[in-house]
Amino acid sequence: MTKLVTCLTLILFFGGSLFGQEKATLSGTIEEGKKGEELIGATIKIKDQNIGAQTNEYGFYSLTLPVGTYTFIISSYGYESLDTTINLATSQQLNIQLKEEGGTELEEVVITTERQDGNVKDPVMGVERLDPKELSKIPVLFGEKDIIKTMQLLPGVKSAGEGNAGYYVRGGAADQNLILLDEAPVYNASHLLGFFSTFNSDAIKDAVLYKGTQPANFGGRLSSVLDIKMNEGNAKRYNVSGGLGLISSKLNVEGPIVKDKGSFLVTGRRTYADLFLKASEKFKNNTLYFYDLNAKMNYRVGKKDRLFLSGYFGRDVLGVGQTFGFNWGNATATLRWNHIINDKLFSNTSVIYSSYDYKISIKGGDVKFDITSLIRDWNVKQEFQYFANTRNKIRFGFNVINHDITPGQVDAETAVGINATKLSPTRSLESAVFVTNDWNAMDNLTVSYGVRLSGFSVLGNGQEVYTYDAAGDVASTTIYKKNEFLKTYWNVEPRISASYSYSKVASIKAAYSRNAQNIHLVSNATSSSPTDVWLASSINTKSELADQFSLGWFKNFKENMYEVNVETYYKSMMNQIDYRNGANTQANELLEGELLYGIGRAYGVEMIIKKKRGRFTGWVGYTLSRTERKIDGINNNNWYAAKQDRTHDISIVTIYDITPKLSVSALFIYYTGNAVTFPSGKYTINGETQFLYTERNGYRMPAYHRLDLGVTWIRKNTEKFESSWNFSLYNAYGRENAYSITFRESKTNPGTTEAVQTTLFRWIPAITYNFKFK
Amino acid sequence: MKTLKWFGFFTLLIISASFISCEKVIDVDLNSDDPKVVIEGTFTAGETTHNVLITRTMNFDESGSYPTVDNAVVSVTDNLGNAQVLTFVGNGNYQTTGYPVIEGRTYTLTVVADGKTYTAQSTAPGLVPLDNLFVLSFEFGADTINSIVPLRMDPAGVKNFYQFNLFENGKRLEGIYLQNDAFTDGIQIQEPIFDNDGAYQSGDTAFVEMFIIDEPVYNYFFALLQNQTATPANPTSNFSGGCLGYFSARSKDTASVIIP
Repeated sequence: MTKLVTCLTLILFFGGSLFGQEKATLSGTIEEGKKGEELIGATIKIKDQNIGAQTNEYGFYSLTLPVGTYTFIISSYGYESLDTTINLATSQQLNIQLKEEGGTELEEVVITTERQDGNVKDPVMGVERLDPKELSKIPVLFGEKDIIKTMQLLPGVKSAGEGNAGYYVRGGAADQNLILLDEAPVYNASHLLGFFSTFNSDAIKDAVLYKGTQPANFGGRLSSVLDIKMNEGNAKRYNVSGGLGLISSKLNVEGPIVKDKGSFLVTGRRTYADLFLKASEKFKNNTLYFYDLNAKMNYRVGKKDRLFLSGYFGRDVLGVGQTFGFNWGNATATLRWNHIINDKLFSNTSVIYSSYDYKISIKGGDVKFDITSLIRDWNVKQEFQYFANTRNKIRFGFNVINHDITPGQVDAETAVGINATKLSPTRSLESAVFVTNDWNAMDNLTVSYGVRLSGFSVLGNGQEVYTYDAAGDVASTTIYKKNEFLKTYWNVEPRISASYSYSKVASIKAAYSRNAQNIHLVSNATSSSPTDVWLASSINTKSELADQFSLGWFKNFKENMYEVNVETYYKSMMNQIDYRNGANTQANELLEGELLYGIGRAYGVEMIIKKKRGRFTGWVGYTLSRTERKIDGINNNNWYAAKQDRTHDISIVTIYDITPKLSVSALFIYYTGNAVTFPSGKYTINGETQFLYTERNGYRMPAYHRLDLGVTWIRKNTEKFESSWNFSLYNAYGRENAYSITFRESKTNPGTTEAVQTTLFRWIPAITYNFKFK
Repeated sequence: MKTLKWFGFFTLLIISASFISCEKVIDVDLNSDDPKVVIEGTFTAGETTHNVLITRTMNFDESGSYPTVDNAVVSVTDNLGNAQVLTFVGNGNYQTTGYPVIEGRTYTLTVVADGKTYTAQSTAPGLVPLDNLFVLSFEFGADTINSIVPLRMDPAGVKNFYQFNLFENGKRLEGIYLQNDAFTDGIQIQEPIFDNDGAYQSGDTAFVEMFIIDEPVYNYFFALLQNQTATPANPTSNFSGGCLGYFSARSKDTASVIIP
């Protein structure tokens, strides 16, 4: 194995052309002029040539060229381009600041790739970059702009439905998406049982979704990576902005710690639905709210080093009088050190903490107890980026994560009515080494290739470890010592993608990747819940694996005003997990005995047509797909449609600027209903009707569709102050979309049974006021 | 100030809109399936007359009472070899006469219907006396919920599974009510039962039948209950031979209370 890695590293380093005349390196950062924040994916290239470099996620670039005099063009989407002529006789540093573009035209673009032709040129497939600034005009539920909800409007990404924050990427389950906030995994990205995501869009700088082949520096989930970066804060001046909404309000404060050396940012958000509950006689004793807080600091120590500290804390609180309390939330913290080792080698070291927990408190008479569940990670990540030459950019590094999972512990205040159960957390170590190269093989051929070697070690915790027989009963019991290695799963995960441009505005791309996943969320319920159980791979549960092949065609028209992307994929998945029929999933020590394992497959075609500039902008996305599973013990061991299988999925987003200050938008969504299990008969047990099932997911929910409308009105925009109003109407034509369909004995007509459809939202208007002191 | 008023208006609008989730009866085109045999056998310790009910499944859109199987041969034997053939008493019911069920014994029920044989085994668990019923009242919104707490000492060191039938003024309440001792082994169990409709009002007489059942029967009912929230499936029956239903040998205690 080590030989393989050495070999690959050698190929990576010397694969490109490295010999020839004398060379010098130009390196530095590109940042935006107003706040001093680094620009991600800004380009510096030689005028009239296709040679250049892009800034990495920390705004750093490095470009090695033969000694000579060059005119460079520095550009970034949404910023004014800059020309500069440099005599590159020796290696030198050049830090560049770009000005935001004055015109409103470009701001109308809602989702942008970093370069106008980025979709055509980048080798990586199935990547979408979302700019939170540009989300504001799309109408959303309760007027709360939400990066995850907007992402679900892209082809290949499917909403798990109303009341569900989860999303499905290319047939993957909701837990197969890795969500990173400043590198820290966020385990439950939903608030208020899924109506909002945990990401306050005011605090977000950049979000990139990898739905196809992920670069080898990412790993741990089968389907996708959503890489979210928080704002750094204004390094030049203090800034206060905020928004008042019907459901929530938020405030954002940022400013320099030492001007141009360091900055900070604090953003908070709280909902106040519970204040309205207080006003109602019926619900006055109930509580229901969430809050979250994002904070970040960064400081430059000298020219070569920079430190970042960022954190997130959010919590949902739900309560019924004194009897029942329920709260849950995520906490993350990231300490990061950027170091420029030399003009070609960039280092990033991170120590990351992340946790998710829930707590249920019950108090009735003398009986008082709490149920808590916790997943906690400590994570160390080291990454080097080596800018070898204009044709090769290499990333390599390693990552070690310690997972501690406490599945559900009962703590009793008094010894009345319940026995406390103290469970030691299950511990596991997830480690990986990776190397990947972005190789410009020819002017019209770019290849990104790499490999990730991952290991997942299951550790003992001084308690019983069970194995199970085919029926799910305990077959053996062994006690392993604390931190004793029980088993390690090794996986080699190759990733390769290539892009061939057959003209200046069109390309064909192909990709293959393998991904492994060792932290699983097992859920058999129809909707997600904060109490869904996270489970690490163990001696019973093996690594989930997925192989994905994809092929795509990308073309831009009318000087990149229109963009057409068509991608097709086939994904095959191994060691997929489901519950046995009628499994007991709550606080069950023998939970793994309730699991069944099988395979899955997903394939489909995704199409998107975007109009990126002009008064009228937007896109039409369409996905045709199929997702199936085959698990021994379910559906008579036959293939069946997965819950997330949707044949058609259409989204249309349009924004029209009436004047520079007033714009209107509309959003239309249509998708095939989820696959569901409905009865095919009925019978009587204990005097009550029960239903007979013949096939897993053999039926379909009715198709879902709705239209949302929005208006954004910029009221004031002066040097010192900016304010705007946002109005939206969710589900404008009041479609009664089915949240659930249940079956029951009729109350009005005894002796008969009926199907009942529940609908959540019809016509939800919202209004939000946003302000900013500059 | 004007803005604030405006806000208030919209707030009202949104709150009223979002708390209205509407329900309506719809038509769903469901498949039909060939009728299957459903057997429900309940043998209770301390009693001598035990009943087996044999019915058939119907299609979803059919109405009326469930068809019965009236020409089956039903027999029982315990692990000591005490056997009896049950007598058909009408409407799909078959009964024992003078057949004692003893705690700790394992019973085998055999049903021959339509030329097919179905067999199930169940062990009658030891009796756990139901000491008392306690009424736990609490406010939920503007309503007062009265839930029944069946108090009993759980025997230590054995897994116990409990099933309840609830009655309000002599009328049985709908629903499957189960408890186990996973967190209450060997102590007094004080777990309340939340009936589906919050039916109990002050002054009502609450009557509770508590059955101590074996693990497979508990799992059967647990799976039926799960069908309301998780992906539904037919619960695993303890009958072999491919029918629906269950056979439960159980012990029983009862108690009643007047809701204060």
